[in-house]
Amino acid sequence: MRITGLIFNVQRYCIHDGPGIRTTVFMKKCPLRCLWCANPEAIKGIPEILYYQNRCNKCYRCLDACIHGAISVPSYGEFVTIDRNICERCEDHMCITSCDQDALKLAGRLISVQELMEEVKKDNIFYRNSDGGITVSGGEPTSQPQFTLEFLKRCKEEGLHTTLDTCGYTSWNLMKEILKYTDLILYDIKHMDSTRHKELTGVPNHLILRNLETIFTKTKIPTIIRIPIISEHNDSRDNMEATARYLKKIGATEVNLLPYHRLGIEKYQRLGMDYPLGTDIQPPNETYLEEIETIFTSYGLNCLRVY
Amino acid sequence: MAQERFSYINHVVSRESILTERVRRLKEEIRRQPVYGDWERDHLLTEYWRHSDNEQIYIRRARAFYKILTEKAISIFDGELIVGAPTRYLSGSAFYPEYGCDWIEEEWERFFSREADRFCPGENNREAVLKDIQFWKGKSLLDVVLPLWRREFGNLMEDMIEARVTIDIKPATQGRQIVNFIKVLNKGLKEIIKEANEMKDGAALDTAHNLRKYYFWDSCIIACEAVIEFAKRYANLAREMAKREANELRRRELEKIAQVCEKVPENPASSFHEALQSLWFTHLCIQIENNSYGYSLGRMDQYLYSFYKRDIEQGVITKEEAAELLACLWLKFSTIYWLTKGASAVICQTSNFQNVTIGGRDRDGNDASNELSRLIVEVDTALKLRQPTLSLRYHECSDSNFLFECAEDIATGGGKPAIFCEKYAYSVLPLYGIPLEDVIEFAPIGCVEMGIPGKTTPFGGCFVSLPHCLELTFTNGIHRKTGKKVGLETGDVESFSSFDEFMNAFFKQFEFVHHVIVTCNNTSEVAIRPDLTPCPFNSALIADCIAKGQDIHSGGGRYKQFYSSYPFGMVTTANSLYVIKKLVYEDGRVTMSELKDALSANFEGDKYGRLRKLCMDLPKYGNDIDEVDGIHRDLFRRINNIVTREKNAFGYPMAPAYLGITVHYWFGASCGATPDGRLAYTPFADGSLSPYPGTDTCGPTAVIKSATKANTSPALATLFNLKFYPSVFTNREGMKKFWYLIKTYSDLGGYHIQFNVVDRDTLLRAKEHPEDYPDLLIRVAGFSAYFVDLAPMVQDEIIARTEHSFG
Ligand code: SF4
Ligand code: SF4
Repeated sequence: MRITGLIFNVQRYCIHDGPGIRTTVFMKKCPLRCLWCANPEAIKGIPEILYYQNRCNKCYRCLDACIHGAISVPSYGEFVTIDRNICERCEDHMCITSCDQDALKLAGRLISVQELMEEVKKDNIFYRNSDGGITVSGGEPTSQPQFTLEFLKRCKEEGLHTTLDTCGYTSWNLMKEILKYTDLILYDIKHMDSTRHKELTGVPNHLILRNLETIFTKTKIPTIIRIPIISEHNDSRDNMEATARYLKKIGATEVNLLPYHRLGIEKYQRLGMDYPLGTDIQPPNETYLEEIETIFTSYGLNCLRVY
Repeated sequence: MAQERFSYINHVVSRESILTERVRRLKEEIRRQPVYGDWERDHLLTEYWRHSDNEQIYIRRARAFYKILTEKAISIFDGELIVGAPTRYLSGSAFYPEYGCDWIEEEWERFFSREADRFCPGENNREAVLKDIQFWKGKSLLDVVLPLWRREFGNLMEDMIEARVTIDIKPATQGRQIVNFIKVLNKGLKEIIKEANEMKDGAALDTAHNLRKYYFWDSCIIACEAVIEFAKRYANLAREMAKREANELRRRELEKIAQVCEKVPENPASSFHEALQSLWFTHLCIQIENNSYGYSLGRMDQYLYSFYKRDIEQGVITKEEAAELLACLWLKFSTIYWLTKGASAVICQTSNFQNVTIGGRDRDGNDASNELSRLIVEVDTALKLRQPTLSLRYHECSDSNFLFECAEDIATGGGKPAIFCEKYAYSVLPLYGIPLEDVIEFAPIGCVEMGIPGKTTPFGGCFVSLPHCLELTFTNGIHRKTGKKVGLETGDVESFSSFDEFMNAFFKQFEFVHHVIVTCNNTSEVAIRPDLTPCPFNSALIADCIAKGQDIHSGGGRYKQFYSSYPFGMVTTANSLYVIKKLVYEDGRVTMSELKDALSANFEGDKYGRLRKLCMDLPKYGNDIDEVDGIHRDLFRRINNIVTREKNAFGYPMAPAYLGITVHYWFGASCGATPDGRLAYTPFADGSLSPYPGTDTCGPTAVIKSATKANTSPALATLFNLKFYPSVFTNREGMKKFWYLIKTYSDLGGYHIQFNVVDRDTLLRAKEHPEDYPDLLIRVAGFSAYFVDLAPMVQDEIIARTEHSFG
């Protein structure tokens, strides 16, 4: 059976997503809508056009190239606008090849498990020398369960160390299968208060927490908890305390803090999206990060910062 | 963050004890004072030459050297502990008119006003200089060599130089060598004089050949005595200054300097201080004698260690004092310059490639790194100087704390140390017939080539531009920019029916150009030097010269198999060949005639613009894609074959070495558009393994895979630059992963790799506000330079280079 998945990046030499030198496969599609998402091109389960305005020289070649009429110009001399509703159903993406400025790019490509294996095996010698391996991330890998499952299985057959980077929002039955081929879990916790969690991510947190508890009770897979630190949104002392207390209770030991950054902000513009968080939010400051670390360490948790 | 030290690393001394008040002041002074182009040495030489017509050439050179060292003005600068300067000034260079003088006259004004590598004229008297230059006309090495070249090839070599198919050899420099410091430090020059004397005493004078040897030994003695005399002059000066010195502390320092200079380099050094001073005098005088760059220091942490260890154990000095002395020596390295023609100045960018090697293994195969190796890295990290160049001999058993310290140095952004994988050297050097005990001692010379300390002959090397050879294939031998015929007529490019045919024509062009250059270089690098510019002091410090009674240029040195050809532009050529193969011969999307026209039109116009896009959209070297990397690999194989078929002046096969310094700017500026989409007169990809800027999009592991697909053996060098963000090193884990990367590079058969760890924003800001970044050190293709010192063109490329993000 030829299983294919939709991915938007295979990044080699990743050194922050698990032990050793790793290749991270970024899958498309995610059930959450986190306000601060740094990979907005990962959210939807379809390929999307990225429009780099800074490269566009307004030659308007793409206007003719798109036979679906998705591209228009408000008035001559302005940048083009793209009707993304039309693009959703497009299969030819003719606009991309028409642009000789590389201003139009496609985020997302279909790939078979076999092809993906070939790609990730290219760095085998680096994994071997560094005790590294493969990380599946996204988007949310469990939202393409068949593909993720098959891919991880193949990785294990090849003797590669596997890491699953997940938001945890999936059914336990699916998760359980995927975990059979997972050596390390990176598990995101975004807020302890479910109402607030829904405001920030679009979904409540019950399922996420329940799955995490099941991981600790039913499996022995090492699990690192990853907490994005988003100023004014989830970084209150109360929430940090609550998180630490909870993690301690369920038996977690390792915590990674991911301080908010704005590196993804331009991608929103390229996708024709608004940046939901607004540009006012600053990355957390050093002193406060240290305070947060102290909270976690005071609960006996190992706490590491990851950028 | 560059200024902070990584907390998880152990250091020998604190940063403050390296950057003492004295060291800071000296550093500031060196930065503040102009770099002088000083005619003093050249005038003394000319004076001697005017009145010594009848002397045998060895003796004449040695006595001229004696005159220079005993008459040149000397000073001890405030606060110095290690003394001796190349010119009358703190920093600078002489001109060496005996190697070529036309260029000095032509460029006299420009030395002092040009964009890069600017010099200050100081107290030179222009009239006197011109008079001296007049004297050398018709006598200088270049004047003598030109008619010889013309006899062989007409004006071809000169046309090639003009077309920049090869390097402009003015001012006929040599270098790239490590002399026998071990002997000078442990036995003193007096031992060398003794040996030469013994040989001289037993010399037969019955044949011209034997008489020549007699003169040679005599010249070695005179030259060594000159250096001893030079040191004693410093001793006297220090004594004089001590008498007048009011400050008690400084007075004692001056007395100490007097004591040290009285003793070394004549006698064996018996302390760390003496060893450093002896080393410095030797290194300095080699460069006063010979117009050169790339004179390197070899395995300094090895041959200095016994002096260091003894002094520390016996309480003669503290580690902190040792660090300060070392820092004083380091500052000295940054006062030596190499004054060259504007063109070559762009190439070397104020660097003169004094390479210091650390690490590696000892004779028993154990890790040779020691406390001094670490101290050297710490001094280098703290000082952030453009010179010396620092090289790490990497092997798998290297002490990890030592490696971490090296990475800390890399993280400061100077690109130092460059990393050299021993494994490669061990596999290649035996192919040259080097016995194991010497292979073990190898050290990089100049920027990246391997040398055997104290045993290899110096040389300049034959640069050949491959993208130019590609151009000649398209034009049937005509250089586009100059319109001159410098290549072969390999036929109309449109008539080649297969890619193989095209490749064959290309290699024929290369073979032809290479043959002309090597032949001419054999004449200018070796054949005429014994009679024009012998170097007795240098020869005295290279194994077998004294035993054989032969100057280095006459074949006295032990290893003469390292004369190298430097084919460069590998990556630009490989990318271009791939485009030709794919677009023209495989897919037929473009005809050869269209491509040819597009190149001569420099891709201008709508039609060619679209063709250029096709060219650029094809895969490029550096992304671990077998199709393109395979062409790069084939290039190495076939070029190695062609190079080694040519012979050097001593009958050995030429050795290929793929370096490139920053020649990719200079040579690129005379090469038309290339099929990879590169526009006319823009730089090539640097080095021989670095991807073309901006085309490597898959990160460092992919670049490393691409770079190691070619079997580069028996190349004596490859050059590979990668850019890194310092954030990689912020914790122990990141640090380990960095070294796993290097280990894998070594496992895959890599040789040299170096890192540019500067973030893009810093560079942009530095370009805008150079005054805020006087210290920003970057490493470009084999050497380090202050960013603000570089020509804007060079700055721009550094900014454009792909950065590997780890965030
Ligand atoms: S083809 Fe490209 S450059 Fe031209 S208008 Fe469209 S996006 Fe802009
Ligand atoms: S993706 Fe398809 S529909 Fe959208 S602009 Fe491009 S060609 Fe048109």
